[in-house]
Amino acid sequence: MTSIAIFKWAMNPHDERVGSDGQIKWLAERPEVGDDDYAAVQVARDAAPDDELVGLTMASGDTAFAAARGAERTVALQGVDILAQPTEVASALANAVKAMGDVSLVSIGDSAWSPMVPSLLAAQLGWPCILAVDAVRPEGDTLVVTRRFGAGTQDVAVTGPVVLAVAARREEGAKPGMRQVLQARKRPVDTVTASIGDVPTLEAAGLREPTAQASKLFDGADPAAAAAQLVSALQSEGVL
Amino acid sequence: MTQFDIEYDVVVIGSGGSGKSAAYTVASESNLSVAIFEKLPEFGGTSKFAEGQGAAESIEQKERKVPFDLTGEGLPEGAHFPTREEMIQAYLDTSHYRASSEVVNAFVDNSGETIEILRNLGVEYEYVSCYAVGQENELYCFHQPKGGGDAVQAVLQKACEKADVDMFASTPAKELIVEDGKIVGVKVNDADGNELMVGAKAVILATGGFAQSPEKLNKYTNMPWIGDTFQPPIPGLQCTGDGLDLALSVGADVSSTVPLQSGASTPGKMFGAGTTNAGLQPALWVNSKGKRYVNEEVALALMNMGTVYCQLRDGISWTVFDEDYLVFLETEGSALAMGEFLQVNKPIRNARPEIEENFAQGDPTVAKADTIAELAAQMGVNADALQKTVDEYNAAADSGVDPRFHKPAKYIHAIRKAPFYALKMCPVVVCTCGGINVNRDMQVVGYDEEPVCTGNLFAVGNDASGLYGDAYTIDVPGSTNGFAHTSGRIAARKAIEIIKG
Repeated sequence: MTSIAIFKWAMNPHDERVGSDGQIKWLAERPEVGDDDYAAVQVARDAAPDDELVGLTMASGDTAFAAARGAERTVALQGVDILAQPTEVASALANAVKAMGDVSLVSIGDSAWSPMVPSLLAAQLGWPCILAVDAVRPEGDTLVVTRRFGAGTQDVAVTGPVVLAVAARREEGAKPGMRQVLQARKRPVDTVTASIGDVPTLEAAGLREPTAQASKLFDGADPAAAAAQLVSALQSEGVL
Repeated sequence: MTQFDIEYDVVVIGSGGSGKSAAYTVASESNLSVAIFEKLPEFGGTSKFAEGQGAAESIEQKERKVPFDLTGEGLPEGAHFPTREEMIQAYLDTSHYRASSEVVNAFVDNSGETIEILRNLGVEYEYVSCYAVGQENELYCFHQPKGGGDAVQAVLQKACEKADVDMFASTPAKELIVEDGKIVGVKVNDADGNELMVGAKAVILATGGFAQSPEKLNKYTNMPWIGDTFQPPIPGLQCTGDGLDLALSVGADVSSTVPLQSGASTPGKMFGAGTTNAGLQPALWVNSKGKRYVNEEVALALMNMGTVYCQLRDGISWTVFDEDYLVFLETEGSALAMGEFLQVNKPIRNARPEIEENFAQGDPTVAKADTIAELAAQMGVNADALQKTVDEYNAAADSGVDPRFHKPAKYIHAIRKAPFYALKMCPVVVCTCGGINVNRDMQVVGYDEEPVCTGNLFAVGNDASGLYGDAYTIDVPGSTNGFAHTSGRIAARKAIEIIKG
């Protein structure tokens, strides 16, 4: 069985610069490592420590990220436009997963950069998808997935193939050292041309600025009263 | 023959502006392989905290034609963008020709191109002007990028990544590998502590100087006390002279007096803090003996002010004023400018709240009292000495003449209305500006002024000497960061030329 960890698949929106003249320029020309990518690899490893772990990326250049974190090999997809629609990205990834055969799990960063892709990927595969994944642990034939839920977490038991969208809580602690990276670069990388199916495309129906909201001021002269007003306001906004 | 774990054509040690510029140049102007080794977990170095770049005859200056008016009150008569010749002469005159004509000319001639390259990569310049308004003789060569140094380094890092520069953080360089008198590589430790042998046909030292090494500050600045009295303003940096150590190991010639980019601030605080803003003003400055020691108008010449503070043997100065002066600062504003931190004639509104809060907390850097004697007690200075100093100062305020230091009358405010304040200040060393002697191609040279080894060792940015004499050139703002980016490129081009034969 194979587990797949998807990494370096989305463009960093911070690389998009809008000049004073309105011209848009991208500082980068390929997807880069996302904040959740290391956690996605970790989850794939934890879910099935005995399975083959394969890294899947849409980037060129250095593709050793997953290999440096335990993946036996990497598949690099070529030919997807960096500004492709989420449906197209999901289709390319799903077809790459299907081409690998006996895959039990796909993990991907729960990316704020392109939030629709994890769910669309699961839809393309016909698998369930769990978002905001914190951690996993195998229990027999079941995979117990801990996901963020409200102010806490919730454990969900899953059997069968699944897409896990992983949300890292913090930056990666111990990054692989140079020796580990150099060894990872020696692991196999298969470069394949992406296959994108006939998928719906999204069209912008219009643009509008966000609704301006008046600020709420609380008089701090009475701290207890101000705190109560703040809590009440947050509750009315649905935050609490 | 050394067995290498990996080989590159060019190895760059340090990931600040100079290192990344060098690496980007190699990657974008040749087909040579290049790697950056950075000892900290993050890339960027001191350049992340820089403000702008100095340059002459840049594309920005040519397009704008006239400097930006920072005050909104009109430019002084004769204000203009400097020619290369004017910029070169400023370095030579200010240093009394102790600067290296070779290094100065190489930098200035290439400085304009730096602006163009950064702009093409995505840096947007907000304005081009001087830096410290009111500082006489300052050239209008300062290019202020949108987002400051942090934005520039982000752009440059993206450019390096796009050009497939290999970049390793938490990977300090430990030793140069020399065979038959030629540098063939570098020994590094990776993040896991593994030692790796990295082959290289050229090595560029871009380690940012030694501002965080008290020992080297004492040894190489001609101020053997400064390592014990200074405050580094940028937490987290670790410029400890790694490049200097590596260069010395292969016989490099080192400057006898390395200049500092220095200033002053409240101990424990950074530029822009309320007490620092007030403490920098040209009010009455006294040393730890309660005595005045300089014409405080030097505050308007930032780097000269830093030099003054650095020469205090115990690093202690107090800025003394009264309630009327604090009101003056809140209404009439600052007498000096410091880039984005402090604007001339703009009211200083964060001083009083901070003074009151710090005093209430018992912070020893803030003294406040209703008498000079009580103030002296809080300051820990001799009360009689302080009173005598204040009396002399008030006499100067009354007469409009400062017989001791000839400070202009407009900066002499009497100290009569209680409460009285004293703000403790200390020297700040932003960075060291040099150490390793280089030629105009930034090749490290020995005492005989010839390139060491076979000329494949370079030093750039704050590692390289030659742009200044024994003090930072205050008349050319943006020197440090401009030189960082330009020197990296110069070295890289020479490295490419050497490797390609």
